[in-house]
Amino acid sequence: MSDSIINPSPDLRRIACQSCGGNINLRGSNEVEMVVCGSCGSQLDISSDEHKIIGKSEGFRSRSFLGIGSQGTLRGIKCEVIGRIRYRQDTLYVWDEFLLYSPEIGYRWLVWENNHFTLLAPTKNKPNQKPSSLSYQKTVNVGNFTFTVFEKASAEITEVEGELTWIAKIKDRMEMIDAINPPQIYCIEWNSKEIEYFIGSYVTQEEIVKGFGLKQSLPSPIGVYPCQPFVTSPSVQAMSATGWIFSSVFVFLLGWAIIAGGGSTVISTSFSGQDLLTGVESQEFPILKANTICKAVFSANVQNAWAWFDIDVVKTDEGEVLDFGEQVSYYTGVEGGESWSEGSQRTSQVFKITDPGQYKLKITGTGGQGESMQEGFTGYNGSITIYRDVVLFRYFVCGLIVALFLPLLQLLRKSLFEHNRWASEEDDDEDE
Amino acid sequence: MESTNCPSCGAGLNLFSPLTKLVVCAHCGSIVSIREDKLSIKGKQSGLAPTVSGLQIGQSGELEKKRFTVLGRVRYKYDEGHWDEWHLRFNDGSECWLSEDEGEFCLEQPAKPSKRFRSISEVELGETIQIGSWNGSVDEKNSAECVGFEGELPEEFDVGDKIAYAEGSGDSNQMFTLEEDEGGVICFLGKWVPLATVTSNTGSKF
Repeated sequence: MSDSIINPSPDLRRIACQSCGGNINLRGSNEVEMVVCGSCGSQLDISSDEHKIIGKSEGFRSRSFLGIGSQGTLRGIKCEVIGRIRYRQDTLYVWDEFLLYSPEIGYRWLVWENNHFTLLAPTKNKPNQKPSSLSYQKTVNVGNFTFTVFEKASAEITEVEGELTWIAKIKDRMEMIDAINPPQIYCIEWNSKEIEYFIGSYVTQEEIVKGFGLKQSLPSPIGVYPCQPFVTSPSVQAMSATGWIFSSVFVFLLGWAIIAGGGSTVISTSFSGQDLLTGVESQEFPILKANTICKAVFSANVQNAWAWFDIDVVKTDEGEVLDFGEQVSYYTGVEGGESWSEGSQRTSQVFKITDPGQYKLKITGTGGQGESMQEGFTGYNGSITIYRDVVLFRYFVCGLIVALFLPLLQLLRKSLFEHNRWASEEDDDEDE
Repeated sequence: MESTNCPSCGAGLNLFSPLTKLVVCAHCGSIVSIREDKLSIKGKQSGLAPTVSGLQIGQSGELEKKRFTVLGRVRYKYDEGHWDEWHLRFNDGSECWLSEDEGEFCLEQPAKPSKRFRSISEVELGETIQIGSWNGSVDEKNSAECVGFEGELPEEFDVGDKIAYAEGSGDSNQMFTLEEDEGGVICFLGKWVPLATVTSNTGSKF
């Protein structure tokens, strides 16, 4: 509303109620059309000097934390509460709209529902579709923004107080569409005579309390408001962003470990099952650095059998420094017309050699076959290949899990937040 | 400018426009009809409440780089509010209507929509109206009543005159009005005018 022109604030004007004679202070500009007498509730049409009585409002049953005449500064604009309307949608939803007047920028609506707040201003920006064609969760473009229809409903005025820039009567009805792009909201309101468009954004309770200098805190907001943004503290945001960065690094390292971290082959020894009964020694191989990570890959062409390998890692001039065992087993069959397999003819084990030097492997083993699977089976050929300088990607996986914890938690929280935002409307939509 | 006197109170009436058909005496409020240079009293008019802008009869200003003088005003009232139509005369002799509604100005010129209506009842809320290459949609369809006027006006008005109208806007900074009169529905294409561009002859902004 940058081209909206409002005269400098008029001095406080005072008129007498045509019904009870009570004094009525007028706070708005000459644009005000109607005022409700605070004493008797008579609604006066003040667009002419006659100040005709056009109805009666029973007034609000409860006092609001923002009474008529409350002054404050909202979003940097000094304003005053000059009117208030209560709307009811069906029997479930009730909300208040405070009319704020600022000599600087004119009129704004502060919507209060379930202790959430939205500040609305009239706009000339229209949607790219007819309001009648809009439906729940359909997107609509308004200017450069895209909104999603959150709600399409009708509402009725149930209470009114103070001054208004139009003549509102109790039981006046309007149709409405709220479309959201948090924290923004775009509202279309119409009746049989007029369509109006408003654009606004979510206002936090802190802004209201601070802006109007309220002494007491407000009751906690209920649920998630349609245009309420998902907000996290700056520290959590920073930690989450850091988590994403580290996750990216770990994903990169993980990819590198998978592609290039297989190490280099140092020896490969083949043998038969018979050889392993007496033992096989590999060629010597050099380990150049302390704490070298190596990987032993075993393979054996067992079929419905198993083979067990005992490996002694022997340093040439010192003797055995490490031993470990590994089993290869592979079974296949057909059952009920379907073939199945279990196990693998190949397996591996990672080990670490702490000191540099010349090493060799002493390999012994045994095997089993048949239904009893008893030891003594030697009818297979196998091999063992040693790789050096292998990169263990399990550390990167652990790092990735730790780094992703907070970002994923945030995503989960946001997902729940969005679920709660739409939950009530989905229920209503299903009811319809 | 032509000077004459109010046939009721004798106060001077300065007529700025040769097109004036109606003038309200600023002194006694008499409504004076001007037909073939003959003045006749039609009644009396009480004062009109000021508008949001504070624009006044006799003030000068500038619009679209042309100097103007405010000659007259008509106020219309509808169920939910009211608006004012200011009658302006530019220094080049042309005249126009400047609407003031809810603190905003709209400069209107007659226009021809692609679709002709015989009455406002044919117009639908939300209907697209094409005027030349410009498109707008109907935002409001209502009826209003003339509740007063002041100054010099180029046609006759009566308090209580009723008009049926529709108005709407489009993407650009323009709006349109459809008004029903005896000959059918007439159309005006308007442009929102920031008041900041309407400077008074003293240089101050209204």
